[in-house]
Amino acid sequence: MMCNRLALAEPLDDADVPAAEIVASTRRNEARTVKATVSSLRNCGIPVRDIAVVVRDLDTYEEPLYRAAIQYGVTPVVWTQLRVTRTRPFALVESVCEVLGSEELPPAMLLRPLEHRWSPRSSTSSWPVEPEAVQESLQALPDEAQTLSEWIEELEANAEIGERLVTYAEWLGDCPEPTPEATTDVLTGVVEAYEELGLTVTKENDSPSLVDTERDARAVVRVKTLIQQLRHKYADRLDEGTVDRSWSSAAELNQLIATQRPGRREHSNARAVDVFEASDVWLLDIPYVIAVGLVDGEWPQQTGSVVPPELQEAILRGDGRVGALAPRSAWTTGRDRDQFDDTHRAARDGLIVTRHTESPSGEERRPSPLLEHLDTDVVSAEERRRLVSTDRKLPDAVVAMLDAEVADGE
Amino acid sequence: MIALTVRDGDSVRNELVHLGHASATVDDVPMDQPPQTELPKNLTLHVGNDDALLERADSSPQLTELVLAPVKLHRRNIQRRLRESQTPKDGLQFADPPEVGKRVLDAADLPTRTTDRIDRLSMIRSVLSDEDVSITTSAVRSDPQTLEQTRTELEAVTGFHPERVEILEGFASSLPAPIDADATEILSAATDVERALRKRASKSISDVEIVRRAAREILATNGRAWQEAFPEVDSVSLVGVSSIPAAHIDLLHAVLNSVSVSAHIHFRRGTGSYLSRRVPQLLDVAEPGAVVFES
Repeated sequence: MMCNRLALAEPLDDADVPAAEIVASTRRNEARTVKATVSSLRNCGIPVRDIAVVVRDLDTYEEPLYRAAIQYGVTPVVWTQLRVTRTRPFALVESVCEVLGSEELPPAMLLRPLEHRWSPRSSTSSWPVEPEAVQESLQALPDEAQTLSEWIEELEANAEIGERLVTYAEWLGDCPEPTPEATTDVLTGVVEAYEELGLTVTKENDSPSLVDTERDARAVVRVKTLIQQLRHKYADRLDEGTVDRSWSSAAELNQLIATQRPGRREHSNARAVDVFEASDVWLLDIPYVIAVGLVDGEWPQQTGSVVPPELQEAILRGDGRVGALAPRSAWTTGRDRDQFDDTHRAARDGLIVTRHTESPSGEERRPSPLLEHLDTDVVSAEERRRLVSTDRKLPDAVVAMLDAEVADGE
Repeated sequence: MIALTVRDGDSVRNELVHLGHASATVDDVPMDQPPQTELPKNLTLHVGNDDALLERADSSPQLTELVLAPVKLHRRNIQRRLRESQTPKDGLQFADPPEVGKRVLDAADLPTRTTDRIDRLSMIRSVLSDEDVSITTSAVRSDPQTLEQTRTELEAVTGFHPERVEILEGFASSLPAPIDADATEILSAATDVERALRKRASKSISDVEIVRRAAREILATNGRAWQEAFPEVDSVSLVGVSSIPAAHIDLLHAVLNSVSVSAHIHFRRGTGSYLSRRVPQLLDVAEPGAVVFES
């Protein structure tokens, strides 16, 4: 019964490349190990372009890798889609639509665009409004929800609340009816002003690696694209009569497009180390590859399916005419094994695999079965400690990879 | 007898599968299996031998190969490898199967607009609230996301091709209870959703439908639709795949049946030996790209 599932689990031949295995306690420590390894390889004169970090699933590793990167001064560049809905430019656009689209707004909602650094276009250095000043204004405003025109009247009538709030209120008052064109124009203006002024604030507050600035800048580009897509989708929907003409409809569609339509995968930066998802690694040829997260249950992983397992099994077996049905390797661990093999083969001079042994709650995390057929030199705990310490001493197994390369070159 | 070459990553393990003796060569095929269709002679299957792709670009730069890479970053990887080895890459064109479909339909002046997932989800939502249509099943949840997943998963398996749908129906009903009912229900839920979407949408339902329409057009015009879209292409390859959805194999099938180009499929090392043994069966349907729906 299981024959083809087993055929999909035949051990792969070892690629002819030395492999080292580094074991850390937690995911966070594992990420630190990865970054320390990259940093030490760099110190040995390996160009950053000759190193790649590969994970099965960036969701779980992106944050820890970024955090570790700051500590070790190695900027990662992630070949992945930006999670744009979690960025400030997106939040800004969303909050503007919310203000323009709500019948009644509490004061916090009214000022939220300012919190997200709304600025008028072609304005001066007095923008955006500082977070403290936004908080002060919030204290000074009445607590009750009011309609937008009531708020605008109130702000314009109370000059003591500050010139900048009046400018904001006037801008809100001047916003046109949300036709597709007008929506695009207003929101594009909002994002362009952010690019000019809001982004500068991010840069001033950023760490030397400029990780946040880079992400913010990517988000600006992505949000501009989204707004263009919104224009078409919104116009289509208005024609069909499936949405009404309102800022709330525009906001809802914008959210929908942002979550459903993946953005372009980004992007190369000569000074940063590439972080790939394993599905993208096929055919790459890079001297040093660090494969991260070789933990049972994480890599390999099977994708959820609506097809009952018995039927999956039969389609995989493909007896008789059932063989004309296209089997899905995501029903097995086959696809993930392929991707691990790609990762292994991408490594020209050395493969370093890393894993962690406990969950945040202290439960045991077992090694991935993918490691069973891989002949690795396991790095001792002492060597790992020295790697992540200020020594940054590379483990012997990794040093041997460098020596091998030197020997090859001679 | 036609020889099917299965090239393995390591030259020492090169294996030649003679399809005339397929059941004798391929060890886990049950004996009661009907004889496999022979593969078209212009199709070569590679398992893990990815360098062959680069070598083709290197050895015949005057020939044009259309490389179908379903994963977009894989194109960049190929280009990087070619750049690093200073191989001219003028001979390679890149696309994914839906792009190929669009070019074929464009060249034939047929519409190529598609609805996207966002539209599909909102259409399914409105189908569900429509009392005239009933898509109810106890086997999967009746929410738009789950129904869309059911539609796409069964689409990948069957391509909604009449023979494949019939085979799956027949097989589902032969399963022991209660799985028979579940399997039957998810298949009919998937086809019901697709049918309801087709009724509502003025455009093609998805990129996959574009691929199928292109396959049908290539066959119906005896290859002319392909020639017009890709007059300069000498060979076509499908690369970097860990599985092949029915629509992609049907597109390749239509091309192989009606155009004199050579074709290559580059499988990965893990799933490749399994999938390459399956290819003859996957190609064993009539009218690739056909669907169970009217019009």
